[in-house]
Amino acid sequence: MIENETDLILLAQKGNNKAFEQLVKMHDKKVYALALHFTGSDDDAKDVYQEVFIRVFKSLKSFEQKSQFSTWLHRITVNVCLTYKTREARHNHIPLETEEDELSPINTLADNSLSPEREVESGDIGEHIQECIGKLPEKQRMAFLMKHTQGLKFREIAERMGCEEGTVKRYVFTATQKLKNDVSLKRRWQQ
Amino acid sequence: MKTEKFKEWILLYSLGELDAERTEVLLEAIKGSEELQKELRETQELFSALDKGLPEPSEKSLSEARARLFGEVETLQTQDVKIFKLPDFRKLAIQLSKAAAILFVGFIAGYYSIKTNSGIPISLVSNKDVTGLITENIRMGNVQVEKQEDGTLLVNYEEIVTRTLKGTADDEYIQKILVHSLLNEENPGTRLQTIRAVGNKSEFKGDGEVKQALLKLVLYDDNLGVKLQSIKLLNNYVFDEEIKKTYLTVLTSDTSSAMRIEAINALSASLEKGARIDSDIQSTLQSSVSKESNPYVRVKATNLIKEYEL
Repeated sequence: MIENETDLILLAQKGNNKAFEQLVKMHDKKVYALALHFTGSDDDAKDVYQEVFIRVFKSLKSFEQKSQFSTWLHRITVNVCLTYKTREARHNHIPLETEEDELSPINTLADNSLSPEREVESGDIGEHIQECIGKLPEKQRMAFLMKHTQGLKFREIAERMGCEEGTVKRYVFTATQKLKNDVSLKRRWQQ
Repeated sequence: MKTEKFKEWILLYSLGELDAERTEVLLEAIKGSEELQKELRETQELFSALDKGLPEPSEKSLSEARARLFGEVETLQTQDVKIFKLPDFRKLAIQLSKAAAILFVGFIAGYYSIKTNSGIPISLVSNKDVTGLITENIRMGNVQVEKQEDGTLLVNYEEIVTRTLKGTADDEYIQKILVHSLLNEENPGTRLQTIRAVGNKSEFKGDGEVKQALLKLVLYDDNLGVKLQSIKLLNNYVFDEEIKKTYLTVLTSDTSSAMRIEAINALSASLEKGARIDSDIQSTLQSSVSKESNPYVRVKATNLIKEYEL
């Protein structure tokens, strides 16, 4: 079994299936977790996972190892997640929020909490949070999840999302504020 | 400093992104502000709830995702094999030039040796047994000429015979060549080309040497594309004990999920055509239901068991 990632990449680039499988197994848990948290569904996460690694397989030969493999893989995951949800939103005719909309003060303060009836039905804060995360605009959600669940620095998230570090900070800050409002509202309902 | 700025710092602090200098200022500010203390508490409560609330991917889901991915990758690779890549023309030109130079030197040496030793016959392979022979060309290669002490020349050369035959895949001599190509050609592209040529047959006899070669390819060839094409072609032959055993061996032992998928599809097609279900098929399908890692094969096996009430 080859442990060295660079060797695995070189072998996989030459068409070695076992090396590719080993490479996938080294990284796929994080990809699956991000996809699951982003989409909120196991089936969607599997679709995202499949799309990500098929893209990796098809373009691996052109990967020159100028960046870390994990960075490259993350960038593909972010793109697939964002495109995947965009397709779904189009399918369901849900109007998309633009990056500016996501950062506007009005939207930041907008109450995206659940209805009181739904609040009472759902007794579990964890479930509630998952649902609230699903309601965040896509880029806010992605930045927030990468920060919180993958433990990446703002600079690293910016690199993977292809935007400025300051923008990532605002995404994470806004997302956190919204979630905090939701959780405290939920607690007030429970009391 | 404004409270809003400190609230932003609280978030950065909670995320481990605030530098030491600003952390010191923030902690001092929090000590004297109930609002900031509340902000810190709520932020930490949120992150704690997130840690507990976000689902972890299950091993089962991850395994299923991997099985689906690796099956797809194998299929993609098979498609890659089917598409013959265009040669690198620069390299090809160099190789052709080298080959031409070698042939030229060989030709001159051969011509010289024959001309100076006209008494030495060129041995020709008899072609009387070859049916359907259209053309036959003989080329010489690897000519080696050595001058002996007595002034004579010792000549070694190879005869390369190129034959063009015409006939059907059932003709005995053509079958021998097809079998040779299927089992001995090193290039998987050539083997695939031969399989495709066989696949164009209008009818399939059950006892031909080609069928035997295909059975071997399914089980032992090292190229997945060749294996997949071979098992697909087997489906055109009348289902018999040998084919059944091959399908079942693939289902139970082949490491490629793409092969197992082809095997269960082929088995299902044979059953639809009226093949008899025996205890071997029954036990293999039951084993697939409980042990198979590929979800498609598992579901297909389950459906066959239900459909045929096994």
